[in-house]
Amino acid sequence: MASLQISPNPNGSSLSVGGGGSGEVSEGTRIYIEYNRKNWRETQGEWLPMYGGGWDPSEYRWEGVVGDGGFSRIAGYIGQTQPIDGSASAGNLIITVIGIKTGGVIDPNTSINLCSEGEWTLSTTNAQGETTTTTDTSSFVGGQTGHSPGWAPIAARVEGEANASFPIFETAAEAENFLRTGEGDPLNGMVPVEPNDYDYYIYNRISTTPGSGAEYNYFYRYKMREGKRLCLFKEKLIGYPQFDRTLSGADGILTIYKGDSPDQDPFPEANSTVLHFLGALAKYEGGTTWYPITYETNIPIADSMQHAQDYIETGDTTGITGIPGQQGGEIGEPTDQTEQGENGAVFSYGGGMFRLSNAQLASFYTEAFNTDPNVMQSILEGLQLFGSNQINAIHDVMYIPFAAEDVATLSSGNDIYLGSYKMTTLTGDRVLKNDKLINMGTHYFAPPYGAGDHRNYAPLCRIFVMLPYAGTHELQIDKYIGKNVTLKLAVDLTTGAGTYFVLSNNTIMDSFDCQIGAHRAITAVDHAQHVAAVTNAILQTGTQGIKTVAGATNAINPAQAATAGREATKTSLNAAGLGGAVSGAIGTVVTGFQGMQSTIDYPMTERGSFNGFLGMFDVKSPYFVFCQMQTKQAQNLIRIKGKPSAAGGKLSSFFGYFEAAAVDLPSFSGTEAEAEELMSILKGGIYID
Amino acid sequence: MSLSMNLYKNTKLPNHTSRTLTAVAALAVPDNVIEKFDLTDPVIVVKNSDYMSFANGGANYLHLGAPFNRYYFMGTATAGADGLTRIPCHVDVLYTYLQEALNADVVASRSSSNYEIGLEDPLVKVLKGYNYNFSKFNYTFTPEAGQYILQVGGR
Repeated sequence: MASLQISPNPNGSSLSVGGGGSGEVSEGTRIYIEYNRKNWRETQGEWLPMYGGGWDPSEYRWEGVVGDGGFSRIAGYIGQTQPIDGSASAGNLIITVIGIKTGGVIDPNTSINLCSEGEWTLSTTNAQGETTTTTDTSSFVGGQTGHSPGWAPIAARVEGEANASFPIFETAAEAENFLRTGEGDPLNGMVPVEPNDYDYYIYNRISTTPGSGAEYNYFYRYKMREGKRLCLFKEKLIGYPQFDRTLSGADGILTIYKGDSPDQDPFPEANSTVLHFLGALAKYEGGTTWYPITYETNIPIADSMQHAQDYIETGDTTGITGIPGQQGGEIGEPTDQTEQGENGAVFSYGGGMFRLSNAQLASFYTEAFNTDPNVMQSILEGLQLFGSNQINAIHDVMYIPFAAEDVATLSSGNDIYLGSYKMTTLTGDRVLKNDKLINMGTHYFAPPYGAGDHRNYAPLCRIFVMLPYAGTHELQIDKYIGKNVTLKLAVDLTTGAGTYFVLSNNTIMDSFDCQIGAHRAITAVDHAQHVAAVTNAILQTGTQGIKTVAGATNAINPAQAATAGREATKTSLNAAGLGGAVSGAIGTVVTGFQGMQSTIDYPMTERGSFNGFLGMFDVKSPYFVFCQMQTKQAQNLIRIKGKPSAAGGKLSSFFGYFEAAAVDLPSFSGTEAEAEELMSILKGGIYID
Repeated sequence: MSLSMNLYKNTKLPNHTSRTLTAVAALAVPDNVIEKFDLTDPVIVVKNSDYMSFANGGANYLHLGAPFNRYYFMGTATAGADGLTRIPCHVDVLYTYLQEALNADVVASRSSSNYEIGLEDPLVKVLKGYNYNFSKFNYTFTPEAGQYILQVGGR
């Protein structure tokens, strides 16, 4: 394990900094440095402790919680400062923490003084096992201003150790680079953490505000004694309106782990666990509604305490109403990212591919088609491999609207050969490998109505992406809302074809093909093919590329679509197919929002790819277009009419407004007519006071 | 045979599970006070003077003892020339059978307490027209100053 050792000279005292997490933090992450500092002084030729009769076991801990508005990473760096009185050259040893913006729980640039007025040697071992040593030999000598002579140390040294939960670098520049890139070689290493070995977990954040905040943050994992089980059961707790689940079987827990977030790994060990949680979608009681912002667990849930105890003792699943899904599965290894390949084809021999400027291309054509008989003779002789059609040595000239080095590895100043003929008037930058993806950046789409709200999704919210040379496409918003969306582009320099990759949290979700490079005709045959290609492209654009649905409830006239080259399906102009596809799409919209609105306009015009040089007139950068309809919800809606629910259970488990979709009365002492009336009332809506 | 009849003033609507019952009168009356012996919709006959007394007390709700054992909403009373007032009643099934109702197994379609914001809500109204927000990626193509890729056959 990488570590940082600080050893005062000459008595072998030491201060070490160990630990070191990944440095990745989010709101609510707890970070800390804890250290044990021991001070000595030397008087009359011998070392004496600073305090009392031995080592002063002063233990220190600095900790804080990352607040909202911080960076996604945190780091520290080692610094040295002069002693407080400035009377000696020996430096204090401090760690400065960076990566937290003002407004976070911790002040930015917090400094923790690990070692003051000391003389020390710094030994660092990085993650690769490489050790470097730095020694500060200018020890503090002499009395301190403001101290009595009898107390003043001749020399002060420190010994101790420190542990940090985040990476610490040697310099501020390295720490800052880590914040930006996530890369670096910290002194205390970025040690892979061992995940907890646990049997059960429950993650429960409880708030009075739907979708945000948390009055209670419970993130627990449990390792059980052999043969022991846990079970939750539903319980209404008098005086605790915020809970509705109770944990049973806690006496079988071997180890409790308590974390700060579900993503943390490992969780630190804890001495105790809470026993009450909130699992209902929302719980109204005592004038307050409580929401489980997070409720994830693999602990089985029983409908009563007795059934929970039966399950714990015998494994009897009677009354077990749910066993949430386990992590992982048998289909394959779970992953949080997709891996992309790299083009390893080499173009440095067997013909050539060169990047040319306008001027270079002009020189090329001038020389290749020179009327000088000596040059032509040379070319003809040099191109004997190409028979009578010598121009075949020129395979392609293609215009690209970006720098070739964005997608390829180049070498500069290479000779250009036509067959065996060496061009005399120019050299070019040879494409060695077409091996790079263009990373166009990452955007984050925050759910406008808060996590989980149906209004974040289509058709109320939609995402389109406008891709240069690839047209405009709608993305399925479910894949991208609340995610980091990254756009990458691969371009094939041999054909000019491109593929955009759209990633959601590092996983490829969509890809779009396009033609970016525009080919210049060289021969008459090429020219004819070029014209044909452009003609076909125009036809295809009309029939495949554009889709406009104006007014979801209006019928679409296929004839108009064909005439205008608009309002067509993506596959054909066949009227039946067109009508079926569009009415299907509209049907989905209407079904989903029947009664909510009279029409939903299709927000964007979609277009397929461009061909020929037409793409050069397209947008120059990719754009995301977030289309959002404005919604209105009565402020008192939830209180007087509730919200849609799919919850089931005893009627007594509901509060406030309740409307039944189905009712079963296990026993009823009234008449049949009264039973029917009661069920009718429940289905019509009641207020449970 | 007599029948217990407790009259109340209730200010809660029928679709609430609770009742605010203020006692107006508690009577032991002969069972022939019930003109229409119907468990769900009985008609009670009282003297006009008694009814006025009840009405002045705000009575709009009553409980009939055995063999009825039910709570009733009082309907619109009718005073007759015979000096009697007829009060049609209708059983309050929700309050009478509240404990059995609370023990019912139910599936909710709407709820103030156990709801799911991910479900579409037809009571959320939508304003016509989308708002458009454009966000641009950092990468910019340079079609006005591009480069050429030349592919040739040669050594």
